[in-house]
Formats: sequence, C-alpha cells, structure tokens
Amino acid sequence: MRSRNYCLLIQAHSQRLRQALFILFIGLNCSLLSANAESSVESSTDLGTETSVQAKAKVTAVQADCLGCHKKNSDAAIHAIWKTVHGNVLSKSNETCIACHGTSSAHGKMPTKQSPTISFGPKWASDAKTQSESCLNCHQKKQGVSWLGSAHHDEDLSCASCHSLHTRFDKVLDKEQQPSTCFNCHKSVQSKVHLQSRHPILEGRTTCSDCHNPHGTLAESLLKEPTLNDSCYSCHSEKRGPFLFEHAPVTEDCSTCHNPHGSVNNNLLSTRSPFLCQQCHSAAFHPSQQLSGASLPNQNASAYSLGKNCLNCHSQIHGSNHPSGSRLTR
Amino acid sequence: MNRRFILVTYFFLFCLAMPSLAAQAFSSQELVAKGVDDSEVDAFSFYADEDFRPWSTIVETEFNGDIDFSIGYVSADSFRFGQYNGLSEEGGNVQLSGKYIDWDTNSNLFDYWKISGHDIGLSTGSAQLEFGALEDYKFGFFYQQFEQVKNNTGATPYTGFGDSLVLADNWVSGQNSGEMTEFYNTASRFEQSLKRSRLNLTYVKEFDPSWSFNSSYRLEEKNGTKTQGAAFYANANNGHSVILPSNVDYKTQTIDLGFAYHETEYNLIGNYVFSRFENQQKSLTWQNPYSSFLGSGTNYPDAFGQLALEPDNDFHQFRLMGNYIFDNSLRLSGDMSFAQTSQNESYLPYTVNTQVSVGQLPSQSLDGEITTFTAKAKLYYRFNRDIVIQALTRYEDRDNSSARMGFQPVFGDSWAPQEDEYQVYNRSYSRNVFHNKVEGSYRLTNAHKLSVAFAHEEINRYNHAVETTKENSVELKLRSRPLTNLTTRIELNYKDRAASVYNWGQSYFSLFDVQLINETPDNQRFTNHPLLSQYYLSNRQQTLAKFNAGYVFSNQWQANADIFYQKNDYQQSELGLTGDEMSHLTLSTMWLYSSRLNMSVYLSLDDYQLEQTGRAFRGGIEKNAFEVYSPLPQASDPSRNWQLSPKDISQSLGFTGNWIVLPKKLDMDWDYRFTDSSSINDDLQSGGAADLDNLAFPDVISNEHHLSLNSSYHASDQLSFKLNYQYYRFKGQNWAFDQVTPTSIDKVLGTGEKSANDQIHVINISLIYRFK
Repeated sequence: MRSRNYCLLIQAHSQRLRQALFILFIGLNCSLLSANAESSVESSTDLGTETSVQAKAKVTAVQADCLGCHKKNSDAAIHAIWKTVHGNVLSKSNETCIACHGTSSAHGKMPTKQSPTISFGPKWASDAKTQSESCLNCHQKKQGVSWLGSAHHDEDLSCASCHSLHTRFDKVLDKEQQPSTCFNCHKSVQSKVHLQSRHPILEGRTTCSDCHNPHGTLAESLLKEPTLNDSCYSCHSEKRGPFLFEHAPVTEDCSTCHNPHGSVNNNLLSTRSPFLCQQCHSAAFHPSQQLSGASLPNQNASAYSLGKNCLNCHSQIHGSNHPSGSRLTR
Repeated sequence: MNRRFILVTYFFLFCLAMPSLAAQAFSSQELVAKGVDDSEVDAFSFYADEDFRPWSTIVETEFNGDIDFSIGYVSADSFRFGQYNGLSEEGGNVQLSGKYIDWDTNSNLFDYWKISGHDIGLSTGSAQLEFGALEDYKFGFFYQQFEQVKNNTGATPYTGFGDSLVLADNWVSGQNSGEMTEFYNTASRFEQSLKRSRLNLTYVKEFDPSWSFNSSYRLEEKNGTKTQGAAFYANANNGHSVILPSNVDYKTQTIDLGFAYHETEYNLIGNYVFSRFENQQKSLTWQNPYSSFLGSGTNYPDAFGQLALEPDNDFHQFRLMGNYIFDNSLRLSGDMSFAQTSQNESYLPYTVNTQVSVGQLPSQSLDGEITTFTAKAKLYYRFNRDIVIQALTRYEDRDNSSARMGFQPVFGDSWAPQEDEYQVYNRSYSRNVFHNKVEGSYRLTNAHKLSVAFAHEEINRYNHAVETTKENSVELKLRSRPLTNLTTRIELNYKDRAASVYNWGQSYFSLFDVQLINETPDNQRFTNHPLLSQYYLSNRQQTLAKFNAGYVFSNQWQANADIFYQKNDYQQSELGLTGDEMSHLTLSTMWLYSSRLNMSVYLSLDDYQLEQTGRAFRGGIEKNAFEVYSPLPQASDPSRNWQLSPKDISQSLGFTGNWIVLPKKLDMDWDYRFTDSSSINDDLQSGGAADLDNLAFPDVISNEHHLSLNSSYHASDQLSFKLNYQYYRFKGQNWAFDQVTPTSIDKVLGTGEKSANDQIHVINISLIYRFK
C-alpha cells in the first residue's frame, strides 16, 4: 500500500509539491520508528502481575531483541527452552532471555562483536562467578543454598558446567545420562564403574546424585546424608542394625571394606577375601593360617581360601542378632 | 525537476524505507509476546521453504515427546551381560520407553506435566509422572523395578525355599562332602537374583517466596535369592559348612517431611525422616547334610541348624540446615542431625538342637538403640577478590547404648559349655569424631589459584583396641591456566595419624567372662596377635597426589590426562596390613572431525597393591606371644611369619562416536568398552617355618568387551527407525570357584558355581515416534 503511494508521489510533476511531500514522508517515517521503539518497550513490560523473577528482569529502554535474531529456525536449538520450566516462568519473549543473559544491549547492537551481558559459552563465556550468580538469582533457595564455598564452586565451575537449559531434557537430570557429565572430570570413578563388581550406574538404575549432592553439602565427599554409613543405609537398610553382636568396622565406615564406585573383587570389596579379613584378624588356628597355592582344588582344597572362604562359615559378616552369634556364624 | 535530485531522492527513500520494513519485523514482538510461532510475520520466511536446521535441533524445538517401541532378541542366557539391564535370558523381548512434557496446559490446576517411562516390558523398567504449578506446588510419582542377576550356575540339593531347607529323602550323607554321592541326583539349578521395586511419591508446596514444605513416601521391596554359608561346628577346627540358597524378602518404608524458610539474609531447612525396615523372614533353618558326630543331635538326618537373618529396625532422623549471609563476603553454614536407630526383634533360641543343654536367655530381645548426632559448621569469608578463607568444623557421635549381656556360647548348634565362666558378652561400639579444617585460597593471577588447607581430626572410640587416633593433614591445590588452551590442576595431600596405645587384649577382655580371663595365662589373653594393629585404628602416613591437565588443541580436538596416586604406610604395624599403594591414569581425547562426525577415546589404568603380614600359630601353649627363649611358641616365632602382596590391576578402554551419515536421514553411533582386570597373588614369602610355603595363587582374571552399534533412519521429522546391535563377551577365571565342584572341599558342601563365560549377541529394532 505504502509502496504504491510512493510511486504516485514520485510521478507527481509539480516540483514544489514533490519537495513538500518529500519532507512530509521523512517526518512520517521518523514518527513510525519512534512509535515502534515505544511499543517494544510497552509490550515487554506489560506482563500482567509481576513475580519476583519478573521484577528482577525489568526491562530498560535499551535492551537487545534476542528473538529478533535467535529465531526458531536457527541451527542451535535455542527455542527448545520454551519446552522447559525456564521458558515458562515468564512470558515467552525476550524477558526469558534477559532473565539469564542480562539486557545485552551491546550485543544487540553488534551481535557478532559484542558478547551478551552474561554468556554461558561456548563463545565469550563469562567467568564462573558471573554465570552462577545469574542462576542463583532464582535458585538460591534450593539447589544453590550451599553452593558458595562448595567443592565444585571452589573449582571455578559454574552451573552451566553441568547443566544445559536450551534442551527439552537436561542430560544431567536423567539417571542414565548424568554420569557421563560427572565423568568429564571424575576420571578415576569412570574407570571404576566399569569393573566387574559395581552399582548399576551404567544402566541408569542408580546414579551419582543418589548419594552425592554436587551443589554442595557440609558432609564429606558432598554426600547428601550426614555420614557415609547413612548414605549406604538409605538403600541397604537391612545393615542398619543394631545387631546383638556387631562387627566393629561395619559400624564405623562401610568404606573400610567396600569401594562403592566399583571393584575388581566381588561385592565391591576393596581387597578379595580371605586376605581382606586377615588384614585385621590374626587369631589362633585358622584365622592366622598362611593361605597359599597349596590350598587350591588340585592340592589341599582348603575351605579357608576356596568358595566363600571365611564366609563359608562366618556368613553374618555385617553383624549377628543371634544369641549364639558371637563369631558371626549364626 | 533535474534527474540528479530524483536519483538522490530515490536512494534516500530506499534508505528510509528499510527502517519501515524492519519496524514491521520489530512489531512482531507483540505477537512473540503472545506466542513464539512468528512464522507468519517472519522476515526470513523463505527459510520455511526448506528447513536448514540440524535434525537434532528440529527434534528439540518441534516436539514435546517421543515413544520408543522396541523388539529385541538376546542370543543366550547370561548373568554378566544381563546383570542389571533385564536382558539376562535368551529370547525375544518387547520394550517401551518414552517421555512427554507439556507446558501449554489449559488447566487451572497445574502449569505443566511430564511423564516418562523406561524399559517397560523388561524386569528393569521405570515410570515417572510429575505435575505442578510454578511457585505453588509439585507432585511426583516414580516407580522403578530392577533386578540384579548374580551367578546362575550353582545348584543345590535343598528344597523348601524360605525359612526351612530340607534335603531329599534319598540323600546320602557323609563325613566329607565327597561322600555325598547323591548330590548330583538331588540337586537342581537355582538362580541368584535380587529384584528391587521402588515406589516414590513426592509432594512439594510453596506457600510464598519464603516458606515451602516438602514430603515424600518411599516403599521399597527387595525379593530374591542369595547364597549364604552356614556351618555345624564344635570348635574352630571342625566346621562342617554348606552353602545354602537363602531367601531375601525385605520391605522398607521411608517417610520424609521437611520445610524450608528463606530470606535474603538467612535460610533454614529442616526435615524429619522415618524409615522402617521389615524382614519377612527372621531365620534360616537347614538340615545338616553331614554324618559327622560333633555332639548329640548334630548329624544327618535329624540335625537342623538355624541362623538369624537381619532384624527389623526403625530409624528416626531430625535434621536442621541453615545459612546466615552476613554480607557478600561472609557467610556461615550449619548442618545438624540427630538420629535414632532401634530394633527389638525377639531372640531366636540358643540352638534348635534339642539335645544340647542350654540355659535361659538373659532377655527376650536386645532392645538395642543407637543414637547418632552430627553437627557441622562452615564459615566462608571472602577477604577480597583474590583471597578466600574457609573454616569447617565437624562433629559426629555414634552411641550404641544397647545393654551388655552374657550369653551361653553354643558352638555351631553342636555343643555348649555349661559353666558360667565360658559365657560371652556382646560388645557395643561407640565413637565420636572431631574434625576441624581451615582452608585459604589465593588467586595469584586471573589464571592461577592456590589453595592451602590444614585439618586435624580426632576420633575417640569405645570398646575398640585403640581409644584415640589423631590425624593432621596438609593439603595444597593449584589450579592454573598457564596457556590459553591449557588448564591444569595439582593436588598434594599429606596425612599423619597417630594412635594411642594399642590394647591388644581389649577384644579378649570385652568378649569373655572375668573368670575365664583369670584362668588364662597372661601371655594368651588376646584374640588377635598382639603385633597386629588393625589398620583403620593404627598409625598411618598417607601421601596423595592428583594431577589433571586438559589441553584444547583446536576447536576440533581436545585431550585430558588424569593421574592419581596414594600411598599408605602403617609403619607401626608388624602384622596385618602394613602398607598399600593406589595409582590411576586416564588419558582421554575428544575429536570433532566435522559437524557430522565426532569421536572420543579414553584409556584408564588402575593399580592397587598392598603389603600384609601374618604369623601362623595355634592355640594353647603355642599362643604365647611374648616368649623370647627357645623353643619359641608359634605366636612368638618370627619364622612363622608369612607375607603377601596382593595386586589388583585393571585396564579399560572406551571408544564412542557419532556420525551423521546423511543429514536428517541417517545417523550412526557406537560405543565400545573394554575392561580387563587381574587380581594377582603371586608374591608370597614366609619366615622359613617348615610347614609354610611360597606357592603362588593363580591370577583371578576378568576380561570384558562390550560393543553397541546404533543406526537410526529418520523417515520424517516425526518417525525414525533404529537398529541396535550389541556384542558382549565376558570371560572370567577365579580359582576360588572354577574347578571347585560342590564336593571338592571336604567340609564345605558348595553349589559348584563357576565364573561367567558369556558371549552374547543382542539385536533390537525400534520405532520412534515423536509428537507435539
């Protein structure tokens, strides 16, 4: 419509009329531009009832129009965020973007040369503290409550080191995929979970966050429970006892005998029995006995080294509640 | 009008028209505010003619859910490959997995809901449902079952799984297992497996930005069969053991209630946990297969033995956590918990052998109670941009207040001394831990950060051979980026633990009656040899070093090296564990050949070596450990020492990759893992006594290959077909089981289980349907 009017104007033969219309045209465009700029501010701030998050994301007159460039048809799956909680706390507009990335007005003016106010990488990644503070604006209450001073925080990791928001399903929140994120750094654990005696971590039946809280706790090794044994008892409650006849190292620390990430030896034992038992037991008769290749089936076939060895008889190794169980055989 | 003015005007009008066109695009913000589908006003709408986005982006942005329906076939039974994945049996299977998330609900009750299922159709399936309203509430339902399949190569002559196990009527008894000629005619294969099913319900309510309440209920049931050793014996030298199939029937219910209060300056989180464990089976009774006479009523067919299984228990825990934020640089955190575990299961009788004379039990039950108290606090202070100081204190207290009682020591349902002097006492172990740590970190430059920490830990134990251990540790960490593409991390840690006097007689004095103790010569009043210090109680020096380096060669290639070394020296211990070394190396690399092809490889080497020593000695006069004049009793004779240096070595290799063969049509991925481990016990030495030898054990070996290949054909954005092929090969050798038949060991009637030797092929065809 407007194009046709322009043609009509150009075809006008009166010089003065042409010049007057020319000046009028310029004035119309200027007012149109300013009206759009105002309406972009109004539409952004007209969000209805503000939540605390929205209050923090209050726009200014100068902000980037993120979705003007980062469209749904771009190569990166930016718009996957609308299918997650982060994309639905606010309206589905630039406010969602600036809530995490900041107003980014410089980036809006020079998108290929200036970074967003807060960038999570891979290009122009802000420092870990800045990145994490963006998340902690909302997540301070729960996940971030113990973040400051935690082991991962001290390693200059940020939330985005593990979490991905521009995806429908954050990999680290999935039991089966979570360990691969942890194994990026925890290489020794990665090799242990493939050993022949292990928890079902590779199959996604248990995962790292079942025992550990990577966001920080005051317990050792970022355990969720107050002590290591409490962590083990959360799944192995039959070991809680108390038993009538206790086995001392069991009551103190499960990792005295077991390696929870994986072991070459059965039942996650750090050393195979009977040698494990003989590290602490050297009593008269068979506990102190030397066990060697002479105890193999083709020689003496000793009960102390073959089959379940010590546990052929002392099966109640975690403790016995039997009145005749002082030797953990009942 | 002159031509030049017209041309300038045309140019000027064009430049001014552009903002108008752009303004139309900007005005789409209003539409965008209402919904993200802006294709109607998309200035780049010509893109819609063909979608140039990668297929993975299309999946992420266009669809809310997917369903994966799969039909598969496993070529053979296995208990290694199928240990946890529900694919332990030969044959076909059908599986269903899927997930869906909806944020565009029209409901007034909830803002979103999501549902997912995994491996439904196998014995290891799970399902989850969650829905809620933002800043209001959340409700979650989670159900999971999985099965751990253990060795299924064993056989048992027992029937009557459950509380009481009996032998067949035609059972042939004997004094040794080799005389039990009817074993193979009466035995049947049994599977060791444990099935765990979990139901978890959670509810979270946010009353306002400050207050929230959370609750959960979890029900877990564990059923299956495991093996358990049980023996008749009258003394330490005549054990007659049998490996039994033992029923597992556990139920655990856990309730968790909590609140959280959050303000800008402080927050407080409290919760209460109650957990009840119930064992549906209180005991395991079995018929003695041996004909050996160990006492009245101890031989086949009338002799039965009984052992107690895990007692029911209750667990209560109160926990309070909080933070006080003084300002941006100073923060105090705390965590306190108080827990009580109790059990009051009625005692089984001393023995089910009615021909053994026994007295009264001292009580009907233990009525045992353990209280655990923990308190932790941490002060975090950021002195300035470069310096941070943290101080942590931790206190733990385990108090077992179960009563100490004397019990008549019935030996293996065979014999019981009648005199009171032979009674034994239960021992309740308690301890407390004080741990204090101070850490300072200093940012040397933007690229270098140094941390130094000092910690002191004191543990006091009750009813242990060592009353107090004190340990000091020093830790040094350096994180740096010496080059733009290189990040390194070095950690050094040294710990020095000192133990108080090792009371080698403590175990003896706490177990036996004072009359018996007085009748025992001084030099025999010990359970474990006086020269043995249990390593977790004894003096120790520990050195630990960690190194990690990551280098980014280019946008396409990065590599990482990770090294770990730890050495423990129990320098005061002469017998028992005297030292160990653990080392680990991982080299890994990731290569992004192109946007369509990426690969990663890792190689890990792990080595764990330890040194331990023992002294072989018998009882009676040979038990004197303090003689210095010849002839030396065995316990005093260093020629009766033996040494062992077990080594556990493993290598693992992983190779994964992704290849987009035809964009948006065909892609492939692979995952290959190889693990090889050996447990080596070939370095035996003895002190020279004639009956000691240096015969090595064979290595215990396991070797595992697992290859998984996936090929996905995308018929459309919505529909894909996936073909999965897996090859699994496991070979194990374990001298403790291989070549050990059920009757190989004289006094152990076993199950004859063997190491795994699996070669498995798996093929799965999946149909994946994606939807909005």
